[in-house]
Amino acid sequence: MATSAVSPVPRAPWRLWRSPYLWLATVHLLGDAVVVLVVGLLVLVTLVVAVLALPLAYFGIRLTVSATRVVYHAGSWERSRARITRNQVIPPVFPPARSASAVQDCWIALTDRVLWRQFGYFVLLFGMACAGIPAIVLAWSVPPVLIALPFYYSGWAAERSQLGPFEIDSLTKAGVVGVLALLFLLFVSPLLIRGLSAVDGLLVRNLLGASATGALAKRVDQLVESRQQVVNSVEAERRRMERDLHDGAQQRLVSLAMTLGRARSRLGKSNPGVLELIEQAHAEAMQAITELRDLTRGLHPPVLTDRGLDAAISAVAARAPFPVRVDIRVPVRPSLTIESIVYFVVTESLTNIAKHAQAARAAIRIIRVGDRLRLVVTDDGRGGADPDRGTGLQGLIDRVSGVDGDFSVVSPIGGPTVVTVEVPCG
Amino acid sequence: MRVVIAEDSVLLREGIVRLLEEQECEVVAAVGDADQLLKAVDEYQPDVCVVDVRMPPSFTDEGLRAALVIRQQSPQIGVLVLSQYVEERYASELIGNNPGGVGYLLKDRVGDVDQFIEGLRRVAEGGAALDPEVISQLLVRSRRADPLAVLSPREQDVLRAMAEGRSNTGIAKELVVGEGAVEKHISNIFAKLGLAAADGEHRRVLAVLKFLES
Repeated sequence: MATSAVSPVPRAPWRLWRSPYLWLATVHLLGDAVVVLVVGLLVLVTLVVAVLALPLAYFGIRLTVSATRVVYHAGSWERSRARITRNQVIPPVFPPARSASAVQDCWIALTDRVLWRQFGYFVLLFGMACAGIPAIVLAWSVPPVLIALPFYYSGWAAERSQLGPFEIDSLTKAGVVGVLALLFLLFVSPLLIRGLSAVDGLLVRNLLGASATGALAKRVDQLVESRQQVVNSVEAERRRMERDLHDGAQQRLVSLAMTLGRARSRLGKSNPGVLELIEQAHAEAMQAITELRDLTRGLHPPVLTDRGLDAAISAVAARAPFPVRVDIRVPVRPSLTIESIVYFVVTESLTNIAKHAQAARAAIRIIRVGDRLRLVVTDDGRGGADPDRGTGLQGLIDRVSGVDGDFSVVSPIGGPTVVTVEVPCG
Repeated sequence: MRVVIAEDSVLLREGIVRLLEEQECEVVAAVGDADQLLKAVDEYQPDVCVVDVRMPPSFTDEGLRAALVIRQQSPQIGVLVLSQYVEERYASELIGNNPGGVGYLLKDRVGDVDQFIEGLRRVAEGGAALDPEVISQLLVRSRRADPLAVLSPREQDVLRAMAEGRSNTGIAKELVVGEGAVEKHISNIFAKLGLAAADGEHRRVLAVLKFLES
């Protein structure tokens, strides 16, 4: 996450004098006044326009949205100014993306907290400018005049001059004032400017930059979206591989098996030795076809794409080495990715049960609960399934958590084991 | 036996054509999509057609829909559907109320030449040829509590073979037993499952499918 980086500001006044910081900060504070006069007024006017224009039907709504963008532009300009004079890097904020309807845009624009934070900045900047101008005068204009006091005191100043409550009526007193002013200029002025500049920097950072939680929330959104894209692209890739295998290798193997079958029938009984070889080759080709079929079904079974979970899982259950009851009630199909992951959980669970559970039977139940899909796989095996003991459960958990799903397994020793998965329908 | 073949993969289509010609079948047309299939069936009135489910343009279930049209318009023409996967509901749609002259096999079974030809002949003669995977799926989805628990393993084998559409002779050959034994098994199965004894392969297939679906 980007943080606002300010170049290290010297703390000691004499070091301040040696860095360009003092002058840049002064320029910035002077700039505040200018900005308040020009930009602040602009921002104020546009927002007034924005709110007043609202009732003007379609045109007004458009105008309002455009007006809120002006505030963003002004904020962006202020961030640039802070970067130039104070070397302060602020994570930028952006206006909300446009949606399909103007009315919705308008609502989003006016309820946008980031917009009102920036507006608040310009209001507070007015206060900054009110404090900043007198401070600059006090820091940079008054002390030099007073330092010069002893020099012109004796010359053309009045015999007595009034300096606040003090009356300066001798060169000694004028000298003391001059020295004090010099000390003030050397030690207090830099600190004064630095303090104001720091307050200004705080305003910029907290009101014009992306707030830490806002930035985090945004980042989370981006990550969720990009993870979704990764998961989707992986699933799409699996489907593509399945198709390519089917259109290529699988068809060639079937064709090969057919050719061998024809060779076998042509040969008849004339050459038993060759016939045996051909039969062997045919059997191997058929075996390869079966293995490839199982492989592609593991990748992404075409029946899942075409006919959905019910059909695909019924087929898997039918091939299990023990009786499996299937009860699937999903009237509306979820996304292909979610289907694929649920299917994967089912096939892996059945494999696990076959490998570890010594179960006599199993049951698969899938129902839709609101906008989530709940899958329950039970078996009457010996239980004791533990994700940490590498019984194939970890792979399932990884795959389910990839789509923000929940996974739980209850498996006491002696069974029964219940695996429950809930995923969003996507 | 006059056959029309509809399969979009040229490799497999040519393979099936050669295979059938060697088996003394007359391939009257070999086409690559569902529209041409319906035209060819209209024109040639074959005994049986071999239909791939996925065909252009959309590669979903054109072949299956064309098969349903043929079943409706020309019930005398046998239809053997080949699919990348078998789905019990596709099978139910195809069979409707009449398992006569219908077949539904995994595409890969074409490689098992003898079985494929035997199934095709059965379909052409008005019998049925259902993939064993269809039957297994029906068993899984059956709402009855373990419908086959009452049957002996041997009887279960016979039931599956019967549901696939095999004749007594076919079942006897597959299980390497005498036809008399098969008949005895079948009457036992019908008695145990509480089915009315059905004559003829169609009725038998239908009875078993209905039992499994109910």
